[in-house]
Amino acid sequence: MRTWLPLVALVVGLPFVAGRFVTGLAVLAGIQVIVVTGLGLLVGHAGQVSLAQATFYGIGAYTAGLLSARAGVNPWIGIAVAPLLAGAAGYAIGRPILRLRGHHLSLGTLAFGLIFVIVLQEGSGWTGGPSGLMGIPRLSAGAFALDTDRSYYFLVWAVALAVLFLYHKLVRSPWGRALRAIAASEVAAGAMGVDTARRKLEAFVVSAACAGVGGALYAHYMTFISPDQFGFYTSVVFVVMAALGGLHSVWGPPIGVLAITALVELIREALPKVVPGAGSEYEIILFGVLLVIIMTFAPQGLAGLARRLRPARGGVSA
Amino acid sequence: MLFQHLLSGVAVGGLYALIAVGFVTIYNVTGIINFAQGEFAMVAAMTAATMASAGGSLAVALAVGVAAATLVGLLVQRVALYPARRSPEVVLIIITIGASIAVRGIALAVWKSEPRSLPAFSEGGPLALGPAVISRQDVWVLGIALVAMVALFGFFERSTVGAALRACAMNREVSRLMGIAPDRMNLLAFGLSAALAGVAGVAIAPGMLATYDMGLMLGLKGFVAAVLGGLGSPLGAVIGGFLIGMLEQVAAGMVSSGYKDALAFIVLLFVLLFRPAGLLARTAGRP
Repeated sequence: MRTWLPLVALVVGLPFVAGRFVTGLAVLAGIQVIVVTGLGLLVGHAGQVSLAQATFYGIGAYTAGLLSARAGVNPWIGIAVAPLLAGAAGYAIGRPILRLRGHHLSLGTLAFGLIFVIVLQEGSGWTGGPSGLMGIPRLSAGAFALDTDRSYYFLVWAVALAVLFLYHKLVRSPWGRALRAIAASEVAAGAMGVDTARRKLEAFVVSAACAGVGGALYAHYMTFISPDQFGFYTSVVFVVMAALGGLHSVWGPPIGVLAITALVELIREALPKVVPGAGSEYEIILFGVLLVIIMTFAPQGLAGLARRLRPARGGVSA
Repeated sequence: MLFQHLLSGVAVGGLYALIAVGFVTIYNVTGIINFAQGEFAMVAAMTAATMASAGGSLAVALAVGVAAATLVGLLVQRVALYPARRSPEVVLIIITIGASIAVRGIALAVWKSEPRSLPAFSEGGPLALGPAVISRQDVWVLGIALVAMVALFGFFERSTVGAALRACAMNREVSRLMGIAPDRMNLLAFGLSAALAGVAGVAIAPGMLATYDMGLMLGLKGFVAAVLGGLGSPLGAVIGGFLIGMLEQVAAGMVSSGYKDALAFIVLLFVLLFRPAGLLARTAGRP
């Protein structure tokens, strides 16, 4: 409880002290927190490494985009449908794919992710093809149009905080404990009576639904989406955020998103001064190197490091 | 018509086979799936293309390309994987993903996003084979792939180092008892696989423009070929490579060329779900 109050205060206060640019960054960060929290549940708590989070993100984005831009449906309906569709896709994909373990699972999810992007690119008729889908409307609540960064920020972070709170509760529930048992040893968990197949599938579906909500919010914010935003690289970025923040901590996802967002902006600002004409390739190098370093030296992420530095407390901490 | 597709498929299959054999070698010796395999091919292609356009002999450019790929492979093993050698498998896979991304980023920084071209290995039009034609470069590719595989076979079966590598693949612990250093074998496995990928890279470059991001698709398809053949044996990888190459070309010709990339991944899903041990299901190598 202690951590929530300052966090909510920070979130509420930010747009009033920060400029337009930072608020815009914070909108994207909020969306990423939603997606990465879902991933954290799957990878961190259930121990299933998915390289397809961007796929469900894309399903959410395209659902919201196509419904509102092509079919003229009220965008709020699209935002409600997106997680349902993404979750359903998670169910359809998860049922067969979760039979796989370890690297086979990761590769199976990777394959799905790649097929998804190709389908998006080839289906020009209805997806807009490689050049993307344009003209996605901004959201509005009645007469109140959510078309400023600040107003959208509050919407996104309301959802993000709700998702984080839910995550918090789920992790402490018997369901969450079952997931952690599976992550520790699937065989042992099964022997203790945990329905591993069902729990893994549920985690997969919840994770997909989170990505779906994030995707829908993203589509309505950017008003333009294209297939290359939902591919392998984006999935890896989500994994890096989850890993950097700390896979086993409830605060991992927001910490990871914050750290990566800050790092990327720092690179964008600082690099052209050091190396003239440098562009986004350094971002790419950074991600790769970061991933290697985190996994080698700090597999528990920043949250894990923070926990080690904090003096020991009694009881169970997040 | 079908024969033409199959023929084109055999040539590209040789490339996938080379990359796949590299995967299988690394997997059997070190136990990891090397996501960076495709990037090694890319480095070879880009380096060779750069050297070739700077003037000078093609043969030298090709050799330098393969050497560059080998060097990158050794570096990746020593810098990225060796420090984390005690980590669980999942972590190591993510590390190879990270390494592949870093290599790709460095390639983008060095070569920018413009495509490079490599001249074909010999001049002349396509050759006729019955009702179908095959380009001279494809003949080169096939020839190089076959020579490389024969050389590899000779290396594994006839040389001491090759035998040591095979021993490590079969049983690490006992090999250690026999005086074989697993760390050195890991490094060797990576170097060898990177060299194979490098050969594939320079062989394919003339047929298509080389870009900094060509590695991902190549690597993944090589990987699918390896899984199809059963990750246990290089022979399976070779067969898998040719199969994938032919399937892809047939699909491109008969269905649609846009979806042909998806075919390899659909095959992957089928194999993972229905026959994860691969076509040549045997328990050779790592369990």
